[in-house]
Amino acid sequence: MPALSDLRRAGVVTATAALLLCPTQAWAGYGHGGSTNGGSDTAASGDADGDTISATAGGIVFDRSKNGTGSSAGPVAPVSSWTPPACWYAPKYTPEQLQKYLEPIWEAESTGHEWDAQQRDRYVDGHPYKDFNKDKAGKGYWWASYVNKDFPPGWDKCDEPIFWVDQGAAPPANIVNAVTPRILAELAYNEIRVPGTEVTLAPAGATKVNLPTWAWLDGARFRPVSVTASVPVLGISATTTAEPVSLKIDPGTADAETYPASGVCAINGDRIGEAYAKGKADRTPPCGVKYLRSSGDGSYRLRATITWKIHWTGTGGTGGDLPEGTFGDTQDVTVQEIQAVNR
Amino acid sequence: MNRRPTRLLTTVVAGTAAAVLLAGCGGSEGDAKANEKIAGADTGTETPASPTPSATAGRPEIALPSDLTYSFEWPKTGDKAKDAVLYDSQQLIKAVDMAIAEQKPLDKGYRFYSEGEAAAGSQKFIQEFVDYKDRITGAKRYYAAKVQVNDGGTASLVYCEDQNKAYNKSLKTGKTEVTPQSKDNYVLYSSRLRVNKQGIWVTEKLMSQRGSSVCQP
Repeated sequence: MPALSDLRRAGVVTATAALLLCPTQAWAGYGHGGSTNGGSDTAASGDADGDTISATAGGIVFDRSKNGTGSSAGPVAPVSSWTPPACWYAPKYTPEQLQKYLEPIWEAESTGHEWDAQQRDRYVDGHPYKDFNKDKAGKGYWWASYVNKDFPPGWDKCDEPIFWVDQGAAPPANIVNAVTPRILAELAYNEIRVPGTEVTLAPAGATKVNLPTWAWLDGARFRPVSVTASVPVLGISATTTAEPVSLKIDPGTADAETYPASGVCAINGDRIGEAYAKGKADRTPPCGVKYLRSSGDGSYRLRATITWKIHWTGTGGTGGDLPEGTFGDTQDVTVQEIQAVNR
Repeated sequence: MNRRPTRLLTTVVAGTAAAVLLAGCGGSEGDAKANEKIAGADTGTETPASPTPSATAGRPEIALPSDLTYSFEWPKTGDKAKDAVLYDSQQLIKAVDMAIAEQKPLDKGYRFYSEGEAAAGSQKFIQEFVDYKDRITGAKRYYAAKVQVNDGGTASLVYCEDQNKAYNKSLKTGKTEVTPQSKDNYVLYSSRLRVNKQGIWVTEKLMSQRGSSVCQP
């Protein structure tokens, strides 16, 4: 087929040309250096990465060194309707930093004179703050709102303008979601990553109809993980820890039974299920599945979900439980008729 | 300022397909006219204007280059205030693009729909296009809008933008700087708005997150 090969050759040329001709700005549809409208104010967007720490006074620092890693790791989903805070208040600026942040905004001609006047009145002219509180430098911080960078529902609730809090003093009573060890723990919950849950099955590859199939997870991969969140300038921190408690197996079809019947395999020590070995064929697997029908030409989508128990400890003897979370994944299981094997 | 040189391969690549591709990369578009305008050059499923006629009076005229199109996949909510928030936010998006096309960092258009930090941020964004002497071309797609109207005349809006078919276009050479598809071409925006005396929903604060997982297809 000469026509086709010509087309294919043209395709190769096109692809090569594309690589050579369009290499600039590999990562932005439009804009300059990744800029976006509304993107210049990254400090104010206050994402939870703690990467604004050098530019601003406050911010939350996350220690993820004991967190789950790897490409299959993912966040836990709370089993209840509870969600971590979408926005919160924390120290953000020293007096000097606030001046450096606000004055260029006021100097931008586009902002509107009325707005500029109100701002100056609040932060410079003594209603209620004078000259960015420079006389209190080192004795407190300007606090401002931070927002979860996914802007989940509730992100807009922290709409108080930037306010001053003396070192060691409590934030004003009307401020909801001022950062505390508990809020740090909840934000750390959001950062928890747990390993993926691909279970090992025996027999591996394809299993057989009516054959008890053993299922287990590598215990070494399912250890507790934790994330610590802290606000260095306040001297507070909280560590949120997730521990695996159970594995739930959903065979992906109604034509199947699970071991145990509930489909929930408890975790014993660092063992989840039991590895199959020769000589165990007559035993009922402590954790596993039995398919009652062949998957035909296709396969079943087995879903394995781990439930993680989550608790936290924080500065000043604080601590407690947070809602359990789950993380799971599906894997394809091929089930063959026994006749096909016994030929 | 790290101005990126636009690298153009001068070697002639044989084949019609390659020639077409060259054009796509901005090699031979051949029009350096910056201001070919068609008022209201919109395509796609745009939410029609819902505010009352009195609120519409005094709105700046938004005139955009004909090679810049919009698709607002923002369903009408049926709620008058929410639809007004969506409409005025659309106008702000277009007004910023107009200021960019006309190279006017202090254009009245976008300032009609924004103030304070949001306006300062847009001014800075527009100024970058003035510094680089370029503007936006192509097709912008907006979707997944979530609007909330609160008591006391404030509202919030979160939405996604797909920039995969939108590019920078040089005002000097007329060349379009075509960029590859990328996850960073999906941008999440959030804005806080307040309704003013004229009944316009003015954006006071605008934040964005390039490459957000929330906006990926």
